[in-house]
Amino acid sequence: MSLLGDIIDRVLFPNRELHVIPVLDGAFSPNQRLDQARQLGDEIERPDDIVLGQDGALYVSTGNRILRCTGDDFNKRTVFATLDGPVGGLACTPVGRLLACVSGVGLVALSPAGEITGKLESVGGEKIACPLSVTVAPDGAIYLTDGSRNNRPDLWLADLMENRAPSGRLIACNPSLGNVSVRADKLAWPLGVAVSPDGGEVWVAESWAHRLSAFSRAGEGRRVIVKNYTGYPARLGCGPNGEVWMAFLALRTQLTEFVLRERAFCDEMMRTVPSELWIGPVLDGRLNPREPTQIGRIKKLGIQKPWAPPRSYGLVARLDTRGLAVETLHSRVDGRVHGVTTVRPIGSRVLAVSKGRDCLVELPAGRGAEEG
Amino acid sequence: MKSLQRAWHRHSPQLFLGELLEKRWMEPIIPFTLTIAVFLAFAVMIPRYLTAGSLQELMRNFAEQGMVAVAMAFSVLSGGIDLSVGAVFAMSNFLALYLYLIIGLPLPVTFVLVVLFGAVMGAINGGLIAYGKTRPFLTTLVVLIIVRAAYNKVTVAFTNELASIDSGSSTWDFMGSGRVLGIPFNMLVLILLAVGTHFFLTRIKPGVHIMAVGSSRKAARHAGVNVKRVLFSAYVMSGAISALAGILYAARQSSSGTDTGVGWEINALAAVVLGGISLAGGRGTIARAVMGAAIIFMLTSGMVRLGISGNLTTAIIGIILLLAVGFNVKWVKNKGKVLQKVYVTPSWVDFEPPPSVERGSGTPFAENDRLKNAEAIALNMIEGPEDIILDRRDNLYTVNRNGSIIRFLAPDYTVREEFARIGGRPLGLAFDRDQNLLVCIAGMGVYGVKPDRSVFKVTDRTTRTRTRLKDDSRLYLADDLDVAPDGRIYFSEASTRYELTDWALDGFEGRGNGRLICHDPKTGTTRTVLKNLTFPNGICISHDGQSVLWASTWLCQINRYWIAGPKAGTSEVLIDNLPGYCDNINRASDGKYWLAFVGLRTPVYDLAMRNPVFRTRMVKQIPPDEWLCPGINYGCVVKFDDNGVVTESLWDPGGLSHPTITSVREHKGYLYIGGLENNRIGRVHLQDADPTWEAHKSYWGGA
Amino acid sequence: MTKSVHRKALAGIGLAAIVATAALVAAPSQAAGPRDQLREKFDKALKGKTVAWSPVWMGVLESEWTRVMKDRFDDYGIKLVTRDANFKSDVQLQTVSDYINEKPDVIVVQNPNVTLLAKELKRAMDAGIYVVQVNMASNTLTDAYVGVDAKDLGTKIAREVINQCGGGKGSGEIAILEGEATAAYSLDMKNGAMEVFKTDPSIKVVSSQPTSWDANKAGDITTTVLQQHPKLCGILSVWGPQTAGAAQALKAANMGDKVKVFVASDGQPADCDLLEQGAFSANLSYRADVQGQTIADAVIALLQSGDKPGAKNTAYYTTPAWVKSKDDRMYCFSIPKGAK
Repeated sequence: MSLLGDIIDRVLFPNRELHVIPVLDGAFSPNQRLDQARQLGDEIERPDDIVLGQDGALYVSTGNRILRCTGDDFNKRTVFATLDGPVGGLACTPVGRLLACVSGVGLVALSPAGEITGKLESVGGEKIACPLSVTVAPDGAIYLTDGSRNNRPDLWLADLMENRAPSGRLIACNPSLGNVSVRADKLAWPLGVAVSPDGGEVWVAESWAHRLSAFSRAGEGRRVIVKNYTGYPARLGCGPNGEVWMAFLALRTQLTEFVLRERAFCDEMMRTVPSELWIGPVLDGRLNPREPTQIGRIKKLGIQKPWAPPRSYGLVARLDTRGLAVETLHSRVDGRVHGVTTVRPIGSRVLAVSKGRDCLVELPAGRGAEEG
Repeated sequence: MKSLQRAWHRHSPQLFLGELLEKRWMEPIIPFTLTIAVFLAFAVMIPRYLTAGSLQELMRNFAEQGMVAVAMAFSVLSGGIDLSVGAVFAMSNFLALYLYLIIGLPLPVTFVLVVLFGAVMGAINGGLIAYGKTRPFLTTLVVLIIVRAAYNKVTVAFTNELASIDSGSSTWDFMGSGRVLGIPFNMLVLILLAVGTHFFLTRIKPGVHIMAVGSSRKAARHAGVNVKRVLFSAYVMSGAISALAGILYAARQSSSGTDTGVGWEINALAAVVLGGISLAGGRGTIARAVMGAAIIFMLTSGMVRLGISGNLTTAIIGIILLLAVGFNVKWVKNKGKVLQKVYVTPSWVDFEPPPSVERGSGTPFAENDRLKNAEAIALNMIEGPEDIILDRRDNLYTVNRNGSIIRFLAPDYTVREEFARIGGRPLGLAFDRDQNLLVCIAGMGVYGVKPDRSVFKVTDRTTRTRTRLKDDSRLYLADDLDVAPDGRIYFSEASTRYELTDWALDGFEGRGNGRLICHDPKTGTTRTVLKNLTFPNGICISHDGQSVLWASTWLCQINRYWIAGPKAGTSEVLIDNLPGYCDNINRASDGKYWLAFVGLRTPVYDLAMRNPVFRTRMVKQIPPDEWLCPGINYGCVVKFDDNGVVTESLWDPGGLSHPTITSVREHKGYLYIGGLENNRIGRVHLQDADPTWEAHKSYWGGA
Repeated sequence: MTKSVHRKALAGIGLAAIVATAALVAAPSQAAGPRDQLREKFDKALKGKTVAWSPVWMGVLESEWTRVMKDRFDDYGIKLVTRDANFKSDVQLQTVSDYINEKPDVIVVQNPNVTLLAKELKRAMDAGIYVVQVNMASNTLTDAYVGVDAKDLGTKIAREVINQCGGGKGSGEIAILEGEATAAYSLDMKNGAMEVFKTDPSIKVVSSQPTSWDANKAGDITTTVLQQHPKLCGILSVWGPQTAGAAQALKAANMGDKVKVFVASDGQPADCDLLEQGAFSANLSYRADVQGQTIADAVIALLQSGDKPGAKNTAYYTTPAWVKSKDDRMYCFSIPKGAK
């Protein structure tokens, strides 16, 4: 029956895009390079985003707090600010102000001393309850993404599994958080936002739509750069030489996609089962005895196969100025750097936070060093 | 409503369909249905089609075409083709008329000579193909052309004689138009020929060799088959059968026209292909060739009887054949896929939320660290020790996934030796009174190894379920066993629908596919004690010897079946709604029982078990590696008593050393742990256990 | 309705007016004159009868027969069943066997050869079915034969051949194109011709081969014969359509005017066309439409005869006529427009 349905579908809608999961190949060919990443300092509890301040310190969002990290490996950590809700995306303005996305609040601007100097709480009369990421253009303009009108950032999984019509927004404002406008609406959890290397566009990565789009900063134009990723794209980070780094929350699996289609089952699962035990992507991937298992994940002779269907995964990609991946680093099913939410070039290094495994890591340098 | 749905999923017609498709005789289902359909269609369209006279005429006219199709089938099954069948048939027809009616030779002599002629023609084909290594297509095409040309010459040369022949003896007329029990003589010959050749090809060595050579010439040669002689014989058979058809045709028609046998090789080939016989050889049966021929014949004769013009008839038959052959080829190719999609038939299983296994939850199942420091025995020296057992000298026996029984010698278990090699996938182990090691072997049955290491078969079949389409008399997946005090062996067959590698599919079904079987060594008989059990796994005779405890893996239950005492013959659920999937059960030193949890229940899987349609779609839509399955990456060991009360549990947190625990054995104060997919055997010391207790004493007494 | 029923209807008192009226309308048939009685007897003998017809195939000739028969039988209320064997003798044998099972009143059959249906035709008559054989007879004599006297045809055509090729005129080399070697039509015609040829020692029959009624095969045979016997004088062919292939082959070999073609045929329009084009030298023609009428007549006669099937063997020989020029066109029939 489903075959017949497919055929009819193909005949009636020949141009309909088939949103199947792409195979990991080309630049996305699996490797173990992300597992070679060096952990910097102690564990940080569920870090979400990092940004380099004008003062040379690294700011890390974790829980309701922002940590200020200094030292060679950013291992001296002090609490920079504590806010009214979980902190997500961070950005630093050219004048040294820190911008933080605070769940349920909106965008908060902080002085170098950690005092709140401004807030952007709504646009067009609608609250910005699910701010995900923020970025600052070279000219000072601020771009902020709001993930969804239904859920706050910490309910990201629920937002995915509910599979509702996309309701995320791309919001722009000036350096003083004024002149606010919605630049794009109906985005599917736009977790990644960055100004393009040429400065002319804003790139937005939508996690649930598995795509990377570019919005013209000057006009209305929108184009899709990559329409279908194997994973759920997370934040974007810009480097000094025009490269852009993209993190992935996890990989899509056939089972998750199947359950997303099985609405009745999915709804009942969400109603009756704790969220950490749902079928769906997770960030940490450490065994929970009661989590759902897939056949391919059964250990054979005590070994977890790296190619098993991934419940969690570590993946970051380096994109060229056109937005196409040129290099990827993986931490496969048996790896340890999973659930990366952010990867950013910091000085000459590239740092990433593994929210799943509670750590800040430095990616191995250079290409080819990995095979060693 | 819900109970209706449940009943539907319990007795789903899909179950029947799946087992039906699995049958080997379902392969020719398309030609078979088509034969019936064509017959019925004409029976409806043509008045008096079903009268005895009409049916007799149909049979009489069909017989020779059927035989030529059989002749063609021989060559095709051998991996070649014989295009000369039509010409040999025609020539034989002429020869029979000539020798018997014109020259006047006796009928038996005529018969022998004509069949000999066919055999010689076949020998020419076969000789060139088998020994000269020529291509069958071209070789037989050349023979076709030569024989046909000769036929045309001789029929012209004997025109006046052929024109003046009159019917011969009564025997000759009987061959042409006689009937035996209402069946025309030639049809009777066809039936005997078809049955005979079927047996020849399936039961008799030279015939089986033809099939073998057709399947794979190379493999046949390696198996010691004389490929050349076999090929030669196939063509000789083909020629002789064509000649036989020619004689019967002569007796019936008494004429030898220019059209005799023209195009019959094409019809025969079409029949063979329509019947689903693979042109690559080796696959198909004689019955299929006859069915294919019957379809073509009925279409031709039926359309003539409907008064459709000749050319149109030819065109229509061409189109029908094309469609049927196309569909048939697809069917033969994709039957496996269809079966795969239809076979899995999930049922509806309702679960209550299980007791908590959370650390500190206070239940006997609460996670702890008691197996964390289990000592690893035989690390990386064993693959998949599903079950383990220790003998009276403390040697440790276990099963390996390559089909052997491995022994590790006491006291330090570092010396590994292959105790016996049986094959299959050995699973559950038990010692009988005489210290024979009995083992359940998936795919084979129950076997035993004597202390002198000689292997013997205990049983490999049981009583067949009469109401079931699938033949379940063979043991499919014998899983675990134990020996009752009277020596009878009770063992579980986990599933009669799936093999061990497909255990997850059985899990999706959650259906009573398994059995509890009893073998009595005294009488040598095996009988099914309980059937329709949902994955019966671990088997243990209770301490008092009065009952068999058996674990249902997918239902997370421990059941008790009484074999002695007042309740003998009845069964009851001892423990229900366990938080894990039960595997092997074994006696503990304190009068209780050890139970291995192969995995833990997960809320999502429990939910899926309530939703058969979801599981069906999952199996159809996503690849096997992605299927949701019971969580068997993490299990534990629990202990329960005869009242069904679970008293304690032992955990290896995170399942680092012991994921998938399938068996636990207590022996002299230690607990030994085995796992279906593990690379080690674990051992922990039990603080408060009797350090002298061993299972053999518990079962059979003695010092 | 029978007469007694009418009488009762008339005699009945208090019958509904409508019944009386119906009876009155039907009444005139009662007072029948002798001519009316004849028609009544005719209808009684023919109406509702079934004629089963088994041609070798449905060519131009057979279609014409069928058309004419159908016209007549429809008029008389006779049902005509036709099954086309399309040159497959096994199919035709089966067809006749089926007919016998189905018990029609008359079987009309064109035999593909003299032996194939011989037994079955006898069986048919034994089963109480009249059998009419058309143009191509079998070894069994049946109630009626309608068609040419093939032997006579062969004699006549052979004489014409001798006229033009015998007695030292030309080489005297003659090729015979048979139809189906064991078909009565071909066999008898050839035998008739051979008897005549024996009377003239200058005639040499260099080839006599069957064509299976096929123009292509006739063309191939002709080409071969011409290569072996370049001095060939004449071709005697038993049937028109196959001869078209021979004429083609002659033309291709540039022998069209050297080799004379003698044909016996059923008067198909194409035969006369070919003769007018000069492809045939002489055509001994009989008309298929006339034969069709005769078949119908024979059937009608049998149905009215009251004889037991197989009791008598009657023959209705067709009279042929020479077609040698445009003026003889009337000996070919023309296919009515709208006929298949």
